[in-house]
Amino acid sequence: MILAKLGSALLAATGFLLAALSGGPVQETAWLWSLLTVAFLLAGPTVGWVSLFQVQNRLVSAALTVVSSLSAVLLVATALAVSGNWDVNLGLTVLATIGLLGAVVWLIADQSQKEAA
Amino acid sequence: MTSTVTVGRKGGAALGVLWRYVPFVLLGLAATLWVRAVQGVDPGALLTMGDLGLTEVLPWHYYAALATLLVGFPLLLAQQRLSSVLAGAYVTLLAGIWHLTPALLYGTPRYPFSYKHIGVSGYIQHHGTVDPNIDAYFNWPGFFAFNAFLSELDPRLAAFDLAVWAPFLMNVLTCLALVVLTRSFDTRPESIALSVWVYQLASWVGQDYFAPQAFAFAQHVTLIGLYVGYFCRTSWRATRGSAPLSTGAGRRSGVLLLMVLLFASITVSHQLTPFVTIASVAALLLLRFGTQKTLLLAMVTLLALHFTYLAQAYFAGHLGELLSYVGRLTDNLAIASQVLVDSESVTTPERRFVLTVRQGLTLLMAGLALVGWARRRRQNLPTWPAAIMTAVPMTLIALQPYGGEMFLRIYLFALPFLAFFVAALLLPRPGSPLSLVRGVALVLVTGVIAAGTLVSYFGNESMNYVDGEELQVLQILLDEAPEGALVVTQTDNAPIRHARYQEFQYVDLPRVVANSELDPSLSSPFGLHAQLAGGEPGGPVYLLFTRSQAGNARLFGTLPRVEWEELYAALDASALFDLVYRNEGGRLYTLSPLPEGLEP
Repeated sequence: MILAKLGSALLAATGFLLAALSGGPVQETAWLWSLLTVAFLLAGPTVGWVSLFQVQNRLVSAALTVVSSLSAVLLVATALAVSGNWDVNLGLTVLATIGLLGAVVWLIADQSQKEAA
Repeated sequence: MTSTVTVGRKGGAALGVLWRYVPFVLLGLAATLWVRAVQGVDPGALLTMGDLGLTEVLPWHYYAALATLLVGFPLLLAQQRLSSVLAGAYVTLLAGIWHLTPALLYGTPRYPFSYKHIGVSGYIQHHGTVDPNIDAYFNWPGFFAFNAFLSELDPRLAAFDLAVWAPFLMNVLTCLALVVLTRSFDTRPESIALSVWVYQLASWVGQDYFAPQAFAFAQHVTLIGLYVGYFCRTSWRATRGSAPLSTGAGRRSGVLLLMVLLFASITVSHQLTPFVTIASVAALLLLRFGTQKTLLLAMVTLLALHFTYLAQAYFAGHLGELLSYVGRLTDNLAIASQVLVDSESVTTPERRFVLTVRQGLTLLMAGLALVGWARRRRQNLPTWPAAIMTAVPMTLIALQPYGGEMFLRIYLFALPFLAFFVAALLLPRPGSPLSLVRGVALVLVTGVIAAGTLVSYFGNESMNYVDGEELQVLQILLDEAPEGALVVTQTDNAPIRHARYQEFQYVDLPRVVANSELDPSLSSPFGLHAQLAGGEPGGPVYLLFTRSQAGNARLFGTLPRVEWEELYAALDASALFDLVYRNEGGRLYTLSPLPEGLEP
């Protein structure tokens, strides 16, 4: 659990950094990097939602993960398009967005668990 | 005696095991029949679909697959313990039977409007920005930016290819959202499964394609599900903390954060949906069911920010027009009823039949839902939040006709709640097993709904199917026409703009006729030439006639006095028009210069 949390936060931070430094060799390896990390990152929000809502139903946690992740990426894409910053590394931006979302959900889940205790 | 009982018990246990596998076997059978059905469709027949659309060309295997699913699902519900995986598989296969069938048969994006949406995504992808002055889509760019983003990530996620599969994907997403919503009203797995099932069966309005509405709808459903689940009383008598899923403050903060994220995403994507979301939450608060006011404030603030920043260009030019519809209930009703009500422009009995079935299905769903609501009331189960959510979309008609589509949108927004109440009518009392009589009733009622949706949903396919040859005509236009050209389309529902989005001006022939002295039968190519050559912008003019537009003109009775084949023959024979390209999917003309001695 701790590893998932740390990994999610670390990958989010790395993603943002790499997105900011887009172009060159970073972009060429982006997809390989993405493939290795996407499952790991998606585990962040998924486990976070399960923990946050204490949801027994896997479909509900899957629904919340999918809808919230897509919404977050949509907002980031809109912000990039409207501001004209389309040249960032998009693959890494997606991963960073989902990673950040996962980290936020985890923080709230932690707080919630402390409350319950 | 003892051995007989033992044998009887063993036999019963064996039957029980077999019984458990029946829904699984029926699912496999339905999938096999469906695959066989898709393989059995004659591609040539798709090109000659009439006013009953796809129902004219689907083989018996298709209907057998649907019937098998309709029998299998109640058997699944009758199991002692409902398998959510199997229920999910049933719903997914049903979504596939409805929405993957056209995708597999056509291989091209369905619905002409998809092509505009592909074009907006393409513009953002290629320009890396949005230009709010182009049109309304660029003032609500969220969905398009998202798809441009996906296209940029991987060419396999290109908007054109995604649009082919979008109706299926959107429905799967919506079903996931419906799980969140229905769980807020009733946590019984049977209730959740049957509500989603009925929704899938009754969703005939075709707003689930590659469009901002479809995506925003799934987000809206999730948001309302979370609000009702965590911030809503279940009855007037209930205490403040009695929300169905109510828990600690930390959890509610998380839900609030998620709802704001969802609403922000809806707001930047679609014009209508944020109003429905706000109206829904406001109604729950006003009627003292909702307990969280901060969300409403946040939503109104986000909407105001969007209007004054991203959508400023649109409102600067259209605010007066938008406000002019507010309160004109009768006018809005008249405009919006065209998609449901028979009128003089409807020319064929098949089309009348489709419209009648749509009305009947809508009334049937409303009637069943009303009885389901009464049944839940009698069982002392919560009803009011879902009932309020059913009523809220109906208020929209007082604001807008929404280009004649408002009834479709009202049905769409009310359908999750209608489906919930219909499921409440069909399910046994909580804790009771599904009896044989109720199971048969479930098969019959869902069968009638499915039959209605078959006709209602597939009845427009002659205008929704854009085949490869029609695409070729569109491609020739995109290759040949110079920037600034005027493109005159046959109807206002043409599959245009999927590339070079902003480079041409478009006008449809009905509008040209309405705004001129032209003979409505368009019998004179000379008159048409004079009208088009004399108009703005003065550059090259192209006339685009395609198969899907011809289908649209026939279904909606557009330019009823025009004999299209005679018009094509007259244009072919006229020296005033040059045929640029022609195939079975359509034809493209351009205006020739007037011969010497002829005055416009």
